[in-house]
Amino acid sequence: MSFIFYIVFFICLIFQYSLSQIIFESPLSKRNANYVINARLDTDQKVVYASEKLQWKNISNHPVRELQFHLYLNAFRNLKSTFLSKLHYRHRRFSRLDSTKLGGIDIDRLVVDGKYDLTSKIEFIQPDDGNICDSTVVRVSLPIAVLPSKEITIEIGFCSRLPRIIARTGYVYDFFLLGQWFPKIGVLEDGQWNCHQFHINSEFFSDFGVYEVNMTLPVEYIVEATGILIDLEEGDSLKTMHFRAEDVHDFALTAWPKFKKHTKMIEDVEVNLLYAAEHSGQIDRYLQAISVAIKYLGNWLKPYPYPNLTVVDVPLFAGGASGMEYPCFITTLSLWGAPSDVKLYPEEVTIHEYAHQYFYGLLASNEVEEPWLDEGFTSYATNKVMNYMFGRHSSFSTLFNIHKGQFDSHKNSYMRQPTLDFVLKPSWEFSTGGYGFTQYDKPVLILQTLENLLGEETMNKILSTYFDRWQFKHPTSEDFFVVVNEIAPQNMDWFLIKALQTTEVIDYSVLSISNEIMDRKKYCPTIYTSEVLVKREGTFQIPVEICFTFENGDTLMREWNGNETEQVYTFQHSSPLIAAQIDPMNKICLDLNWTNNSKTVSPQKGAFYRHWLNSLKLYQQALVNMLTF
Amino acid sequence: MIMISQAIKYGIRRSWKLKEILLLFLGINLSLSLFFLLPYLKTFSDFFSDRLAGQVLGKSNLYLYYAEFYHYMKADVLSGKRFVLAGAVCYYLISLIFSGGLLFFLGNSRVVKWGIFFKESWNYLWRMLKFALLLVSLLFIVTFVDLLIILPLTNLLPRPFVEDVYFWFYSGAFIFIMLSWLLVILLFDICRVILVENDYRSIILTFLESIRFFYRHPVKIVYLNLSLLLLFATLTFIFWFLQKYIPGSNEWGILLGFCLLQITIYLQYWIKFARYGAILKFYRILVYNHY
Repeated sequence: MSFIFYIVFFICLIFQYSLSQIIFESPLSKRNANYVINARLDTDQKVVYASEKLQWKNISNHPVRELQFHLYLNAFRNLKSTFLSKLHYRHRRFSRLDSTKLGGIDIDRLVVDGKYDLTSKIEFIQPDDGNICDSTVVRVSLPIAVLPSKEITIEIGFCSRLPRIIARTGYVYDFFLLGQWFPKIGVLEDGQWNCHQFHINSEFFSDFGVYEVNMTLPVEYIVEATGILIDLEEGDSLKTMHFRAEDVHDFALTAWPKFKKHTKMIEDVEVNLLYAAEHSGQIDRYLQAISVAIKYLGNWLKPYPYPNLTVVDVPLFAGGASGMEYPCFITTLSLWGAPSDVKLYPEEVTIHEYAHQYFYGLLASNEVEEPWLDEGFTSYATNKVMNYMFGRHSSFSTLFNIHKGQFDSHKNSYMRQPTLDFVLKPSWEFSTGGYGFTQYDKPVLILQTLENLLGEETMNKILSTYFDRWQFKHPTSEDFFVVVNEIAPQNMDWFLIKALQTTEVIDYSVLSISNEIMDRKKYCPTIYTSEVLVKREGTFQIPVEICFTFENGDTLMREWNGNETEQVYTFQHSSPLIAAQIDPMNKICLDLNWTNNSKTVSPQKGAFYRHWLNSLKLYQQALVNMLTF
Repeated sequence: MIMISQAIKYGIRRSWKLKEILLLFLGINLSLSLFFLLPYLKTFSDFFSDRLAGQVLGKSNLYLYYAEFYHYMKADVLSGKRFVLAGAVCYYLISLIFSGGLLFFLGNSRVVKWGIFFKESWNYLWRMLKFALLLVSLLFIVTFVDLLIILPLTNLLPRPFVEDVYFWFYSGAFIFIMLSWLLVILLFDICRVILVENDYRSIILTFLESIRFFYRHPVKIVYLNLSLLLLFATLTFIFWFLQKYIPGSNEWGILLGFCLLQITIYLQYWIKFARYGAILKFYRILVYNHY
């Protein structure tokens, strides 16, 4: 009897232990790329020694005869790699690497299903540019094809030499951010591998799965990573941490002995904030930002599904590691003594990286081929949260009493180079400057214009449908267009195609206003004939509203299809026209110049007087305080 | 302490009596400001005067409209800013020209006569210009020496970078450089006072005399200057505090703001000149025992 009792007890124990490791009751994604990684971080040599066991399932309808893997760290293996050869100047905080600080991945063993040793068959390929010095993608031919719905196990032994922080991975002194540090299988689409090289502007694309990672490193290191900590074994000098993450498509880890940690539950999410001691004064700002973001995006899109989120406040000496998103794990930045009038650090960066959890994390669109689906939507969501938190005109900065919103920042960038490039383009085809403005700034204006044209309610419905339909499924731009056209009262391709696939610009202006008194003998009381000339300055045609204001306070609204180059509006009214304004609600965010959208008959001196007095104050005071009398 | 208060009292009283010269400097300041700001402000007016954005900006400072202005009127704004800088240079030269005349009247109890003022200004003009050149050279030399002191100390900073430690270190270094600049400017001011007081022909001799004077009474001189600097700063602070409460969106508010600004500038010149008067008196007391 007691023997049976012990057997039952033992089975229950195992069952409970295995249950405790399951985060979700049922899989949220297809989980076709599952990794078990045992790794040791040598903090002196800056090297990770690891073995990886990948269970990969062919979820396509085609048999697969080869496998392709990303070896992202090899972008930093030599200065002629596709990534580094284009690093001509500082870009996105990538400082130039000298040859002593390079990194890379070396695979020393690749065995399929425990019996096929294919190490010698590993072959570097360069599918995008044919650069033979680039080794960020490898191909392995399989001895037998993997049939649809079949699964194989790939065991890989590898060693990752970490570079000095670049592209949000590597080390600086004793700070480590391990991102893209292991061989990662590409995504199979219609029987073809989608496995691009690592380019200077490109980010990542991979399949969902379960990650089990055992990381061994010195005990003094404070560590957080994607997923939850299942187990911790501590020795005298080393410790092994066992992390598990489900329904994610990447795994990142950070380690630094000097991290401080603050944990808080926000809406069922355990938020772990790792921060540098000198940023302890910024904890409240971090927590407020992340709290509002979790609540706002949870209501607007869908609740954050994972049990935890790691927010890493990167120390400034490792600033190149900041501003990055990984599943359940974001890196952000703050500055010691940063004024609360400026919301870029930490609020905006934190909210932006958290918003990535939805577009990069849950939807997981192909960031390499269609980066706007991640960065553009994320910036749009950031704009929403920041406006909700600080107000439309104050969500970026209120320094010196000048009110700058998030939106203003995006519009300012767009205004400066509106025809530089279009949005829908693979990331590697962009010039470095063009990438930022086309993938972050312009999409915000496009999506905000779309929202203004359709109404907030319709736009919310579009986004919730897009999420419900495509979460964990890698949607494309086309999938988004389908949802828009399904929900919008009219087909919006005319707008989306032009806005995303061309560099045509919108700019409408009011050229002139004139008033004439009609013949006094005929008309009593006095009737005025007013004439307004409006012009389309850009080539992008879009219907706009025009508001006409008369001296007695009457207003008239007219709709203009915006097709003609010029249009004259004539009115006969008992009062003279005093102002005309195109798009009075500023719905068309893509309009390059909002100032020329209006014209008034009498001069508007308010702004001039204020500016005159302010300029005079500054200038006269400066002269008084000059070095001499 | 008595000497210092006597010197300050003398400076404040004497400079208050030089109303004509105070008004002259205020007039120069205002007219140059109005003239050299004109192209920039005209550009601003042209861009917004018949736009509703002008109405919006009349009430609050919205970044986006300023961004549009600076972008679409970039060339005009740039040339306007260059003109503004030219105005500052112009003011510097004019104030140098008149410094001899001003110091002359600060040093005696005569009623201001414009003929004498311009004659004395001309009399000291070349020596003042030489001092200006000497000042610029000295500022460069002092900065270089400061850097020679500061840069080796950076080796003591912790690696890796720790923000607050670095912030305090570099703030300290900045303050150190600023203080050494202030010291040079103070020496330069003493030079000019001694030059007019003794009518020295040699600027080197004057410079050495001012160093000797400062070397003998450093604490007292610094204390004297700090007292008047504090007065100046208080006045400026009151102005910036008051002007926050003046409505900037209507003509009356603008007019009130303008008047308050001119009164403040006038008072600031008064305190500035009082400092020269105080240094002069202090020099007389300590060197010539002339109470």
